[in-house]
Amino acid sequence: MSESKGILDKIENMDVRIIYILVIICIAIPIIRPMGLPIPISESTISAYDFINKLPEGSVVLVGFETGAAGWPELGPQLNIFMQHIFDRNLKPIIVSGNVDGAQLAEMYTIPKMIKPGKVYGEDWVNLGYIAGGESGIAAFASRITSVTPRDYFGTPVEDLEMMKNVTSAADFKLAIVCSWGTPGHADYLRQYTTKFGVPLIVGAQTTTVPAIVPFYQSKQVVGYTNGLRGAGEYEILTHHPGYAVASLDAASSYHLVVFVLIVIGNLAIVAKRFVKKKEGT
Amino acid sequence: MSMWDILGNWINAILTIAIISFAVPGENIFYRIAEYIMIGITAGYAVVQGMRVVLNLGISPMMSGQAYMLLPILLGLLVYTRFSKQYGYLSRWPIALMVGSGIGVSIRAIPEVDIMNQIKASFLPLVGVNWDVAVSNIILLIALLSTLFYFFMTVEQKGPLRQISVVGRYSLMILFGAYWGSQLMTRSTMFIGRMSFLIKDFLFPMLGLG
Amino acid sequence: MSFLRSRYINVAIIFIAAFLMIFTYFFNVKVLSDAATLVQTTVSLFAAFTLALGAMNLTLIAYRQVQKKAPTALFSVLAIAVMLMMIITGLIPPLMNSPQFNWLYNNVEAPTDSTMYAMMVFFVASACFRAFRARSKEALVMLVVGSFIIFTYAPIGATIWPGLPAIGSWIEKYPMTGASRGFSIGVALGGLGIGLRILLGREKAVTGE
Repeated sequence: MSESKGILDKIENMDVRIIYILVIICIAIPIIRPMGLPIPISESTISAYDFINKLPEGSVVLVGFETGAAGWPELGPQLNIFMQHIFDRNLKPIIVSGNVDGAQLAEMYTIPKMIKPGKVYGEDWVNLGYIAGGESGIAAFASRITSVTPRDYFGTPVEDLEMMKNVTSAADFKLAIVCSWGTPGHADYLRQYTTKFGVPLIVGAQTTTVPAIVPFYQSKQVVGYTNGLRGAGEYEILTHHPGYAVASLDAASSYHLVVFVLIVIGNLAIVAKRFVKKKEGT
Repeated sequence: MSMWDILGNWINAILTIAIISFAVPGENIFYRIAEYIMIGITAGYAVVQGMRVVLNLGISPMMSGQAYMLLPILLGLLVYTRFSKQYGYLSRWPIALMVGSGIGVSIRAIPEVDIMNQIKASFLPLVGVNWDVAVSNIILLIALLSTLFYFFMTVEQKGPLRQISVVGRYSLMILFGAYWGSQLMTRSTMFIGRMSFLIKDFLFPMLGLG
Repeated sequence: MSFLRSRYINVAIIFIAAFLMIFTYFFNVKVLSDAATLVQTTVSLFAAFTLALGAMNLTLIAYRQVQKKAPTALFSVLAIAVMLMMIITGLIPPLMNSPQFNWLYNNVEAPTDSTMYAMMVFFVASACFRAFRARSKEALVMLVVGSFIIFTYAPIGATIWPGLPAIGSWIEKYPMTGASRGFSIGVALGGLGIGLRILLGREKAVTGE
């Protein structure tokens, strides 16, 4: 009995570095050798996809790159596939960010990969850069674009951009898409774009924020949302552009399974210890 | 790939491995170096971004005829008085304006977005729908009302009222369970990004693999 | 001069700014709308000035550490050196878009930032193993719901058993939505309360003593 208790104690007090190595292995193996698990498509992703598909060509779409480099692995794939779909549909995206490096991430990691031949900057898309001031900055941007972004990311005056000639405020946007890892987030966009100007909102969510977004989707304040890397993978399948997200989901599945097993082992060890204690007591 | 690209790739990989080394084998000097590099470079990036915004919003308009922008620029500089014991109180003025504006723009829309529209959406059909949908809608309502009641501190929660509070607590546990479950996906995704780089963009090319 | 130190100036600034924002949301008076936009532009400008506070603080800390000959002084000097390198390359034309700046961002800032954040994957796993115990009924509910949500979000759930994501989706759509909605309404009411307290100058932490 004391031998079993010793083993149970060893399990309970296992060196955490063993867990860390297990995490690295369970994520590395599916990256090296993908399993190709099927990815069912969620209703919320289909809603987002259908909404963008129904927009008339030439519609102006605000895309909020509300993330930094730290949030890029989860939000980047969503932003990339949204931008790809937007370019496929010949919509006109305006890129902004309330985070200091969001606009730079768009220029360095999204545009080079997703831009289609023949698209011209200033006519087919613009990057208006960083909006300082949090929700206050967004409110100013929504009322009058040039109040907080008089120049674009490259320093060109906004009035000189062909695409912005008839776009002066959020009232001219047909859709807003926000992918955020904090603030400004979906709540700020809902308050400043959707409620005041009636701009429909699609959210590319970090999975941690999905429990907070689902009520807004259910109330139709948000017309669709994608759920983290899983949502990006679903969207890649819907748009027939399978890429990074689809390839990485196997590693996510593997990690989830390993953590679940660890929790089960941990709880079983506790139950077993109680059982052994009881037996030793009697 | 140019020499700078190759060098950049190596620096990227070394810094990534240095930070991961905090987990295995444990805190070490390489992790410390990477950590301080991160702190320094993030601070530097923020400074440049700030300068760019001041140029675009303040200095450029001032130079092109909007002389009144000098006042916001001077007031903005007051932010730096916080480092002075004698004049530190001046830094509260621009902060007060930021706080006031931020509160104003958020609370003007909170009643509509977060309260009224959410309450409206809670009026779900209980008749004229399939029985499973009706039951599910009732469960949603129970979860909503009990959760709201759980935070209701104006009356003492005893007797039957306490039972509602208990249901509210369990509803919140469902919510926290969902939050916990969603955490795993977010955290794993971040690390998958780095591992993808290390394996596919660094190790494989180095070893001449696909 | 002591009048300038008074917290009532801060309260007045907060109140006037907030009132302007709220009024112009509901009423369209051109003069006030233009004033509100100017205030918001000014706030944006102020936010840009605050971005340098971190760098100034870092410099101050490094200076003190070097003066005291602290063990981490060399690391602080390294941080300052890297910070200056980033600032200088950022100022090379075109502003914030030079190849040198982009190279530093792509190969130093982005990987360190994202890897630091990614380290949570280890701590979440070890915390789940060591601390997530179903010691009470509430914890059991949390564990069971969390498990269903895990296998709803990860594609492997559907492969193990299609019922897993089906149940998880139902939990997400109904009981979780109800609880989340109640939570959000509670937070919104609390936010309104705090906002009003700040507007009326009752939050001394914000308005000063």
